[in-house]
Amino acid sequence: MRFDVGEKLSLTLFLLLLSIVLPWHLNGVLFLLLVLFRYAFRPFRPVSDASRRRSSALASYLTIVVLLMTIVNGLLIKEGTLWPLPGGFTMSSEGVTFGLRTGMRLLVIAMSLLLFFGSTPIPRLAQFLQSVGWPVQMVMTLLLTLHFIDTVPDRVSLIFTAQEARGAPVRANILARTKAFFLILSPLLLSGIVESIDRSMALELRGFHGGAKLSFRGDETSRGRMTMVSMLFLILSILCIVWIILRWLLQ
Amino acid sequence: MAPSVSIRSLHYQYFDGAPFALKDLSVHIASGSCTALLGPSGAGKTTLLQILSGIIGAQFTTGKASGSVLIGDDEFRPIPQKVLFPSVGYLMQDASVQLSGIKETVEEELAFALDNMGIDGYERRERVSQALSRLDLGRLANRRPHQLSGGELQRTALASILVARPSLLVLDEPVNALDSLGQQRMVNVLRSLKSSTTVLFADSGIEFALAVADTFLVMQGGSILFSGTRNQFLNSLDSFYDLLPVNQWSELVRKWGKTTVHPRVAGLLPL
Amino acid sequence: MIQFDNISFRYAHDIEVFRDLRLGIEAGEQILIVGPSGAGKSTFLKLLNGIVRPDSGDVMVGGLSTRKHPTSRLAAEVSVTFQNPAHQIFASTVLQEAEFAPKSLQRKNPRERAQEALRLFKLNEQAKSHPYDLSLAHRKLLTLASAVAADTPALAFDEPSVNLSRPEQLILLEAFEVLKKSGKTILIVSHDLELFLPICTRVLILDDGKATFFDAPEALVRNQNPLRHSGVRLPLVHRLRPYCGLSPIPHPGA
Repeated sequence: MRFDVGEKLSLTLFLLLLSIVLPWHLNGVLFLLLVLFRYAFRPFRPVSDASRRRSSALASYLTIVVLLMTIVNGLLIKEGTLWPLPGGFTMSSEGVTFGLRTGMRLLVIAMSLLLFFGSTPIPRLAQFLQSVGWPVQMVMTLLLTLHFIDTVPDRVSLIFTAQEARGAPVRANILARTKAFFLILSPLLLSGIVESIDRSMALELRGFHGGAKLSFRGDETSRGRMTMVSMLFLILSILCIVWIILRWLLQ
Repeated sequence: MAPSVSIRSLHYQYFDGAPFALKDLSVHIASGSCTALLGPSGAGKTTLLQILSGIIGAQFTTGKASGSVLIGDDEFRPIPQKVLFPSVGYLMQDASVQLSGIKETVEEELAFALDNMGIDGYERRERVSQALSRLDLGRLANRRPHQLSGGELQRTALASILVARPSLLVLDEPVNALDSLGQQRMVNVLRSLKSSTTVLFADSGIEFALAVADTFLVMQGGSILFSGTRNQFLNSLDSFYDLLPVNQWSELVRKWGKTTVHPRVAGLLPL
Repeated sequence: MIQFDNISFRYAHDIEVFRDLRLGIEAGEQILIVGPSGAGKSTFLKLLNGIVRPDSGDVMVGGLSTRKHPTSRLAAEVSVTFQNPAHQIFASTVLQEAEFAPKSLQRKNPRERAQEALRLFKLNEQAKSHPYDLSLAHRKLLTLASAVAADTPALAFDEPSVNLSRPEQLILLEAFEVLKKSGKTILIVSHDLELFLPICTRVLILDDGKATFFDAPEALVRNQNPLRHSGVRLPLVHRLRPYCGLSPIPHPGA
């Protein structure tokens, strides 16, 4: 079964909206299903070694985050059934449910995005968007953003190495690594922004303008047409939106 | 075909109240010549080059300019208001930023300018392969741009401009990431462009300029301090002590004039 | 001070970088490392503090083996900087950036050390500025100052003069003079021989996986074959000077 970019995109949209609609236990099931997709379903397998490693790493980090979130909420919130713990702490069912609800949603959203971006090479995505009529400037901006995000792990690694070379054991344990990561996030974005200003100048200096169309390698002409599958997922997505609005109105 | 460039009393500020990046700058660059623009960083070299490319007029809407710029038969008062590509090709100082960042191979990267110009088919392939061989990038044609070394990046960046066959080539520090072999290659490339293309390049050193330029301009604080031929430049080296890495050269030049040099070597540094 | 014992190293994609490399660097030396691009000069520096570990053989720095100690421990013996300031700078002020190393290494009075290093590179007036408000040349000097602030016995710089114009080069040379006098061991990877040949004690040519030359610059002028073979050229000015009765490589301060 083949999925083209348009179909994957509409499926991803549906999954994102579904995560808002479903209760936490069903989201959990969905998450496990998506993990299965990643390994078993060819259209969703990661395209390169780098994206494979990264998606595994990201998925594991997120699972830990969700676990922590659930536990912390359980400890701090004091409503619902309270189970006593040693040390005078209590774990509340309301807190745990709240943590799980948000956490599972996060996991499904993250996994859906990981599946999509990991299995779709960036040029394919850009080619698709251009063929459905996106303005070239927007496609270019998206391309630059995605390419930048692609370089973030490498840049982070370089700065970590530079910090180790100055005596800071940032890779010693997960706590040190997390702390260091948050500290360098802002200068990283800053240097990215500075670079993108120069890059956009460079593009213009090579004649890039609104009228030009970006060209892509490969003879596969991207179908900008709506297939049955895409239609199906788009309709399901619209139904989700309707449900969300109704639920909110009827509260 | 290759244009001459005449700049008259050019003043430029990035915005009202900013210090003058260029002050009363006047210079004439002959058609087909190769001119070196030397000076410390902050002297205004990049500003001048960017004005000629048109990017400053196009992007910096708060900029204040006065004077005039004549490129070939086109006069701009005060400065070009849009990017003059492909007649003017501009090479940025930082080669890694010059590349688009969205192409998967070096070959596609070179073709980017041609895509923007609407050139495809046979002409496109022809120009790309010519640029690849000119800068010795043949075996890197399918390499991913972010895997290139500093020197390879710089050659790729220049090739991506040359595909457009600009008649005025403006280069900002084209050899700063290259070792001696790479610099020699660059010397050969520029020599092959003589007379068909007018070349103006900025550099912070002088060895490359001495190998390839006919005219030397020295800038500081937004103005041109010196303009002259290679020999005139060599004879005035002492005056640029703080601006350019010339100390070893000036000692040499002083002695050169006073000693009898072997005829085989004399040609290396005619004074 | 630094010992390379039969170092062999190859990258994952099977490109052999070093084969049985063996050399020793004494404390207080200033070594200029040259070679064709891709010869492994940057890798050589990364072997010094364990960023890269050899496949076989051992690198000893200040008596510590890079196999047995993490990079953050080796950083107390040697400070290594890299070519691109954007891959190193992360703080929000110049002073914070310079303080990072002495703080991480738990030196006494890290702030004073940072300020001293900034003064050495004439960056003290911009101590409160954001690093990205500095010009590229000054950001380069900042990475050098940050390494010097660590006050390690050895320093290693990868292409320190790239992106520097003449005024900044003069600052760099003066700083090196000071570091030399205080007995620091300095390693410089650079293709700017004109700038560094006059100030180094020995030149190391890395070519084809080996050290093809490791001796004083004067010896290199007498026998330029190793240079020619590696594709590196003696700067034109050094080649022309003997024709006027001048020593090919001038002494610093000439």
